[in-house]
Amino acid sequence: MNYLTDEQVVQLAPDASSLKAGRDLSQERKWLNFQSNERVLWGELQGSGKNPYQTQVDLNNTAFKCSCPSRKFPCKHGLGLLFLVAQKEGQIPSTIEEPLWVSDWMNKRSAKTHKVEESTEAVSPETIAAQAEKQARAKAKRQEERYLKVQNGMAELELWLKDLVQAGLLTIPQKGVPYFERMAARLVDSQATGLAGLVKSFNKLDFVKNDDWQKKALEIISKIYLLIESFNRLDQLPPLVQEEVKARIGWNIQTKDLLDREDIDTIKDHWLVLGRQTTIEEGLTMQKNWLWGLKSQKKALVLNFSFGGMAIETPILPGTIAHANLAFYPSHTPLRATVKDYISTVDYLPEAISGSNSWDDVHAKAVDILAQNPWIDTVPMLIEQVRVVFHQGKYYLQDASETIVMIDAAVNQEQIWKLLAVTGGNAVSLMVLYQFDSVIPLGIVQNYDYLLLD
Amino acid sequence: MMYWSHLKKTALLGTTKMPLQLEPLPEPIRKALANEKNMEDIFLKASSMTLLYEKAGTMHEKVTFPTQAFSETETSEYCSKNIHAIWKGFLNEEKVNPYLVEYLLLQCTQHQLIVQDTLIVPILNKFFSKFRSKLYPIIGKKGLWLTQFNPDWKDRVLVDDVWTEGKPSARKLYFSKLRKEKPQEALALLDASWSSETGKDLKDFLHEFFHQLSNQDLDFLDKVYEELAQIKKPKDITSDTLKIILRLKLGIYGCDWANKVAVLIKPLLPKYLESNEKSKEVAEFWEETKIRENLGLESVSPYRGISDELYWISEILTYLHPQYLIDYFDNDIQKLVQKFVEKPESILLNSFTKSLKLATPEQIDIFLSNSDFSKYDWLDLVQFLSLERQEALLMKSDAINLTILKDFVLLNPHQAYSTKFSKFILSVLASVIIHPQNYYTLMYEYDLMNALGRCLSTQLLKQLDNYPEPIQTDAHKNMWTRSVVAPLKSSLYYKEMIQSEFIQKL
Repeated sequence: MNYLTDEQVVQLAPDASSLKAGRDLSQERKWLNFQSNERVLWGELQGSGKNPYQTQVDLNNTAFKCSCPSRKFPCKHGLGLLFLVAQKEGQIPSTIEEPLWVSDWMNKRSAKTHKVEESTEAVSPETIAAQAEKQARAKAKRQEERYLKVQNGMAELELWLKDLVQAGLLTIPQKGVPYFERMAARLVDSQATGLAGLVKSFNKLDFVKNDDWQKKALEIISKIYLLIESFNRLDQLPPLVQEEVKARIGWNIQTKDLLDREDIDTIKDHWLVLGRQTTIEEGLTMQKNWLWGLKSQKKALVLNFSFGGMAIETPILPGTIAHANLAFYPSHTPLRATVKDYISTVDYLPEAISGSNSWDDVHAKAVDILAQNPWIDTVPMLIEQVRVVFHQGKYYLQDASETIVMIDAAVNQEQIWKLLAVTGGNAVSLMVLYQFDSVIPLGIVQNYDYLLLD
Repeated sequence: MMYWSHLKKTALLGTTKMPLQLEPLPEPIRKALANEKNMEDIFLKASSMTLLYEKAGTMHEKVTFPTQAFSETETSEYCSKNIHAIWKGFLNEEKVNPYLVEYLLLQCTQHQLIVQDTLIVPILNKFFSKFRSKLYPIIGKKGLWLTQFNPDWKDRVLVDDVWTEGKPSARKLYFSKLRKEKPQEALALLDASWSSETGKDLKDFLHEFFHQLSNQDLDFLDKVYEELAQIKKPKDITSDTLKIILRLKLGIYGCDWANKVAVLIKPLLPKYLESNEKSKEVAEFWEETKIRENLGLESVSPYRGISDELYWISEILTYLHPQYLIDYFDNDIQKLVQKFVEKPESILLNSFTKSLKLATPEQIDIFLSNSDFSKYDWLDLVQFLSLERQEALLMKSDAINLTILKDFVLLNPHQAYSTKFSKFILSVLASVIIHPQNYYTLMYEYDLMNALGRCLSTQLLKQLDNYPEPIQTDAHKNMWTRSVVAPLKSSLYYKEMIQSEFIQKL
């Protein structure tokens, strides 16, 4: 049976209360029955109502359905059922025959996929061509309008930035949050949401702790300026660099549109999910999943979003190996991707993987990427034979040639201690997010196993 | 960083006040800026390029450290997947039952099992403040290696040699614990060092001999007494120590001093136990024997309504070995209890009860079986009996209320109660809930419910789904479910898992 581990189920919980409630429901005696087969897991549980709640989980796509009235997704019953199966390591009653309420749901799910295919087949090629042409015209018009909007926004931003530079960084702490919020809002109106995010990051600077904010502020200013300059010369840039610049400014490509495009790279591979970073801002949850293609040696970043605390439905779970086809967003340094087809999850690394043997090598590789993409901050890397060391009040990772790179101060102390406990201070192969001046350890690669540092 | 310090002045003060000087910047950047005229454009371009220039040119430091890596091999067996899952369950619980964690810890320690490396840090972080060095056996050699780097995980009591180098307060704590757990080791330790101890420390250490006092302490006590008694002008602290030794010796049945006092006291007893009229002889007795002075008893009774003489005799009964009194009543403890209970001066009963901890378990059992729990401090005595007898005594009594139950359960929250006694406890809890004044009480008895989660039989899991007979109304049912069933079910479920795992292993 294809089941999720305890740690993986934790990642699915929409919030702490659901997690706790889910754990409480992981006790076998609370369920009236539970069964599974290769594609679906289901169970019934007596709630406060007359009829028991019917909970089901699509195991291949990690999708949920429950008859309870909860608006959370997945609900505590879905989580509880998965926790229960994780505890039993998948050893639960199995049957090919599904109850009607389970097979109905599963058949509807697969019917949805077929429907899309069928509807494409039903329309004649001429009609499709005509529709496509019409859509392309409308799209081009929309894009032109949008380009003008962004152009106006960029012009305003350039002036604003120069004012800021003229006045000096020391005036920033007095300007207050609304000053940056206003500019960000104008950029959102101009449909340059990526730049709006950069402007908002001024409000995250800590002016009290030390003077680090000054360098960070200058970094933000530099990144914004680089984007403005690139936009001003957009037509002089190669097409893929244009795509990268536009994506950073805020031209989002819808997943559906991306998958419809023929000029994008798709890579089918066993993708090791190295780790996940989740941030919540103004009700928007953003999930960054870092992946590593075992055969292709490609790195990928799969972003998922949800609003209002809803859980994100994704088969990509940290610490697992997803056999999947990834579609990459167009860029000259492709990194961001989306899952085109998910095939299955593998428990162990199907082949040994190797990485860099020194920080110098890691740095050289990262600089190659930086030379092509000056906005890049973080590069996932595998480095071999590094150990945790403590030096002048900070934690570092030291390679075989005794070169040290600081572990990012934002990394949880417990995670560093856990790394020490597992490695015993000995050198191991580590997946890291390399940030040029610091690193974030993600997980340990040991033989054919990947241990996530969560 | 070197170019950043150059850019910093302009960046901080602004291009108006401090235009950027290009000379210190690298040549390629200077060239790229050659055609720019606007000061802001120059600064922004310089800053953007310098940022990338410095990022690309980052040079990481090289440092040599001594190797401190863990190189040993674990000799203990790792926990099974099920035990690992139980530990993870405890780590995930927001309000974990500490008695069950202790239970699992004990089982793992007894079976010499260690946890997986990934659990070492979460376990130390969550449970070290409560269990301290008791966690060391389950974290293995690697865990111990790890604790050396984190002062929060070091148990200072173990780190120092407390007895030889510790502070007086730490030494006293150490000795007190040792005397309670290993009285003979404590005796040997003090026997070797008493002559070099300060007067105050010696007095404090000797005071700990009231725990686990036995005949084996007599030679040592005599030796110290003889030595100190030879001092011609003793300090107050020495006199106090001598008095403590005499009090201690009263508790050693058969020793000369105890025999002597018992002989003196015996004729006096009927005057206290059988008559309310205290004759003149009583006052003369205290005057003549000087027992009060020798034992260092207060000259005036500190208790209101208790006469000086009654206070003195009660103090002597507290220290005197109970066998003397039992002998006096011809070994008939029932008669003795009757005599004491009948007396209005409950202070005598209390004194005798305190001395009973030196009696045999059988004598204590007879005493407890024939007396009412609510009338004296019974807790110190009950623990001398087997659990079976403790359960029987409590089940026999009609007067078990929440206070008595709580005292009993929390006295030793590591017991495994029989199913019968567990059911009895449920009935006591039900009676607490239906009492109008206690309706909400159990909701706040976290410690009691946690301890019961460890002590009660897991056979109750089936029974908890049914309401006990007294629980009839919806309000009572709600309260029962919330304050009794929910916490107990959760704990007993874990207990059942721990038991099944270790019983299987055995």
